[in-house]
Amino acid sequence: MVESFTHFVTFGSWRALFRELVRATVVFTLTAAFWAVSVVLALALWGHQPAIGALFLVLCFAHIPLLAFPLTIFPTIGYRLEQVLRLTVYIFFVAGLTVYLKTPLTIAAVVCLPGWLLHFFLTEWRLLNR
Amino acid sequence: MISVVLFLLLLPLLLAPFETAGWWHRRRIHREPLEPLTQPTKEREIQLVYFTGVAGYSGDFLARREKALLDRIREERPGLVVCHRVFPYSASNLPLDGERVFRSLWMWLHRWRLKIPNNVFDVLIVLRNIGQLLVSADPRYGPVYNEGLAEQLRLRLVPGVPTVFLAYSGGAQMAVGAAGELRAELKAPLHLVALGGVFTDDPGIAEFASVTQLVGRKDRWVIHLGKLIFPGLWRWQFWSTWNRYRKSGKYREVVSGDHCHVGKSDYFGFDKAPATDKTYGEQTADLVGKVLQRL
Repeated sequence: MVESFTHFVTFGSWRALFRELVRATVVFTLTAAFWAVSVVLALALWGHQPAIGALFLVLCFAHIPLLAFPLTIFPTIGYRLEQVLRLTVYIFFVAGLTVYLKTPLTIAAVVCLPGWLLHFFLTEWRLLNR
Repeated sequence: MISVVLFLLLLPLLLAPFETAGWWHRRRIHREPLEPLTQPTKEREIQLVYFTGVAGYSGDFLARREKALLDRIREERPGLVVCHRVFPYSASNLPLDGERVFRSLWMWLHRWRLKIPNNVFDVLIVLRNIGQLLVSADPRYGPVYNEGLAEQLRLRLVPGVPTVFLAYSGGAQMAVGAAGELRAELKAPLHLVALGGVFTDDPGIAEFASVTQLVGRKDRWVIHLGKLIFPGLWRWQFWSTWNRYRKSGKYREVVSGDHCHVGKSDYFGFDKAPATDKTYGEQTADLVGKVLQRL
């Protein structure tokens, strides 16, 4: 679910595939949680106190573009699409904070960035290493 | 109707990764040590691998014009051993008329092509091969695909002998992809001579001791197609492998004449080139011969 289906071709066995899927899911979940927590803390530093439930909703909303993830199976074009989708998640999150939680745009853009970068780089680590 | 046509056109791209995935899966199960196909009977001074363009059908089948070009290059460079039996658009060197699900379709298209060259149905073969090109250039599938291609080349090439890839159009990317996996094992310099070559930002380019791109004056846009989806080719990305290689002095672009990309006056053309007594193909062969002399 988390990693692109297309990564699966490189694994040799179902066990290796499952192990890889679990590892990727853990990395994704932990970095996403870190992202949410870092946003809450950064907003608190700026004097904003968003409701955790509302923030969770915005985070879910931000991940809607990932519904297009199956299209990343296309060679090369899909690889670029994957990067674009992840960038879109960031943009949607910033937009959600701005529109729904009334956070100023610049502050929303800044507080979302560190967590998103970590989330992006860790989930894309293997690809970026190639 | 339009959506059906679009779907049919996208289908080869969608299915392209599955061929590599299937090959990789089968290979992991039945992997056997591979012996070279032929032992060299005489010393090779230099070996040349020819990769055809995205309209390619199999490694064994070459168009008459392509054969004529290779023959002339062979005449100009004695001691050259030419290998063209690797089909670059298949990780397992499986030609389009090999054991495939759509074998009948490809054979039917090929028969049509022999009757009417450059007919509209050719686009299906071209799209299918472009799909494999994109697989080779993709950082996710590419290492697997290129490993397969390199494996096929290892069977046919002799280590320690300078190797030149002569690649037409999309074949250039396949050469670059294979070079990344091949260089360490061949233990000899690799060179690439591209005829209107289409490159991607594959890091394999750095494995070549030299890259010579022959470009016709009328071949204006095809060679730049890669820039559409490969950001590493954009000039401002000075840190990309491609841009660093381009500036290293190992890359040369040579105007080959009035060649176009596909047609009677392309790099293999039998028509007489203007203001010379040579055909377009002979012009290309002479230039390739000169490049080989300098290696």
